[in-house]
Formats: sequence, structure tokens, C-alpha cells
Amino acid sequence: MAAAADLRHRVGIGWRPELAAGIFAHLDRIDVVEVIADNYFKAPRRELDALRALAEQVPVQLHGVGLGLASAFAVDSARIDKIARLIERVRPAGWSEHLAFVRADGVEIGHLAMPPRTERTVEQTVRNVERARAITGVMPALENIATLFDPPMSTLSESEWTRRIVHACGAPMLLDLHNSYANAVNAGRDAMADLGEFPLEAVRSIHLSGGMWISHANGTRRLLDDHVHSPPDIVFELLRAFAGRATAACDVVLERDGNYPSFSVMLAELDRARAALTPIDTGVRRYA
Amino acid sequence: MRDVAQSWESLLARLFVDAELRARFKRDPACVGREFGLDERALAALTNADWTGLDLAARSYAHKQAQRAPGKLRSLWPW
Repeated sequence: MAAAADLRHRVGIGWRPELAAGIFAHLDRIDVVEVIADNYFKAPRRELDALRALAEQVPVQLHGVGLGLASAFAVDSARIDKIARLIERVRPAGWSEHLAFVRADGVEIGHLAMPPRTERTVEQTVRNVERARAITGVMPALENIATLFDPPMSTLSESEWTRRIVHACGAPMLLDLHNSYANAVNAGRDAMADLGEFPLEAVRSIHLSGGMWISHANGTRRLLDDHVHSPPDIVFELLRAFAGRATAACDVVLERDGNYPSFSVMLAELDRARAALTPIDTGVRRYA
Repeated sequence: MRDVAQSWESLLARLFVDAELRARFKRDPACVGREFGLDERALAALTNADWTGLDLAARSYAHKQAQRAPGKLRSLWPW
């Protein structure tokens, strides 16, 4: 096992059409690009060719948003087939999906929702992930989601639920630090303490993003993970804390979905992530 | 034959997208819960349901849906 200081993490950004020019102009400062897979399921050939060309220039991670792997229902194989075809076409460095359900009984939520965290959803989620791996030939990285709503009937903490699924599948984890932070503060917990409860040894990729506080009519405020704000300081602090405990190299991806700042601002955020991943030199060397 | 976990997900999915059902659910959760096949243990859990979170989540989801251009996935779920 490599020492944390010796790991060569990659830092990159989520692909969005609005950011394309900036990404291509700064590939020397972008180690990895994450692409929303679902946007390409019905894409014409020229767009798929362009994505493949991008993947030949920089490592691409495909990121699914619509499978609904974390559910008491079996995942639809036809939806996995779409991911499988895209993987075959693009040959990405890897792919990921969320620990969320997105539909039930024909009702499309149009969003990622957390199911009740129970042994039952652990079991079916593991079956769903195994099916996804079997069809695509690649185990997906599994991402923790943000939730404004604590699912009733939950008997497991989010970190324990995640740990059981990740370990049972032998899957890598995609740790979204702002999702983890938002869930912690919304529940009145300490985000740094929460971080240590996730299966950090399985983390192979990380998301950085931001959000905003929203208010209910009853005066209650909660933090919404919205991807249209820059990552707050705490996200970089969590990244630094993670880096000190990392056991494998990770892809760290900045997610931004709107209200785009200048690309120089986003490059500065990537630099800040790199700095957080670099252990402070204390003069003491650790060896594997 | 569905189990209670599946009934829960069906109910939650509808609650997120159906404002009328959400209002009715908040007035009488046990009645709506029975309609969705929840058992007594599940119904008991509703007494401590996170109503504030449910409202905020539904509002957030509706906002995201409204932002999405019809027929396009380009602004798909950022989460």
C-alpha cells in the first residue's frame, strides 16, 4: 500500500457544453474529465465520436444519473444496456452511479432520492450493482448523494448503509464531499466526524461542489447541494483530511452546472484541490 | 407481491412529485400510507416523518424540473 504522500491523484472537471472551450484550452491543467453518461444515450454518431476523441486526449469518467441502483426494486436491465453500449463506444477510464432511487411504479422523480436505509435496500442495491457490473463488465463507483429528506424507516446511518453496500459489492466509492457535508450539517452532525465513518479505503474518486441555504416556511434552513456555487472552504478542508488517509490514487472532479464563473476561477479551484491533496511536509517520512 | 420497502419507495416517489398527495399525506399520513400498502410498523414511523425535509426536497425537485429544457438532458440532475 502506498503512503498517502506518494499517491498521484488526478484533478479535473465535469464536462459541460458551456465549459468545453475552457477545458480544451487548458488540458495541460486538467487531468481527468467526467461526462454525464445519460446525455449521450441518444446522441448522434458525431457526438459520440467527439466524446471518444475527448477520451483519447484526457482520461474520461462516465457518470450515470438515471439507473436508480439504490432501491428495493430491481434495476431495469435495458437502462444498464445503454451504459454498457456507451462504455463500449467511449472506452472510459471508469464509470459511476449514485446510491439513489429515481423512479418507482412508473413515477419518475427526475432527481436522486435516498431510499430508506435498511438491510432490505442494502440487499437489493447489492444485487442491482452486481447486475450493472455483469452487463457492463465494469464495476461502477458508487456515489453518496445529498438528501434534504431523511427517509423514514431507516435503521442504518448513511455511512453504515454505504459501507455495507460498497463492501458487499467490492465496489469503489465516489465520495461527494459536499453531499456528505450537506447531509451532516442538515442533521446537526459534524462533517469531519462523518467523513471518517465512510469506507474511505474504497474511495477512488471524489466530487467537489457547492450549494446554498434554503428556507422552509416554518423557518427551518437546510443546505441544498446545487452545483451552481463554488465549493465552500469546508469542502477543501474535508479533501485535505481525506488525502491524509487516502490509500489509493483518486480522481477528484469539480462539478459545476450553472452560474459559471470565469474559467480562471475554476482553474484556481482545481489548484486549490491539488494543494489540499498535497500533504504538508513535516519532515517526517512515512513508508508503506 | 411487493414488500413494504417497495411500497415505501412507491409512496416516496409520488410524494416528491404530487403536491396534492403530499398535502393529503400531511393531513392524514396513516390513510395515505395504507393506500400504498404500508404495514402498521411503517405507519407508526410516519409519526416522526421529516415533513420539513419532504417539503424542501419536493420544492427543490420541482425547481430543477422547471429549469430543464423540454426534450433535452443537457441540464440533467446535477447531483
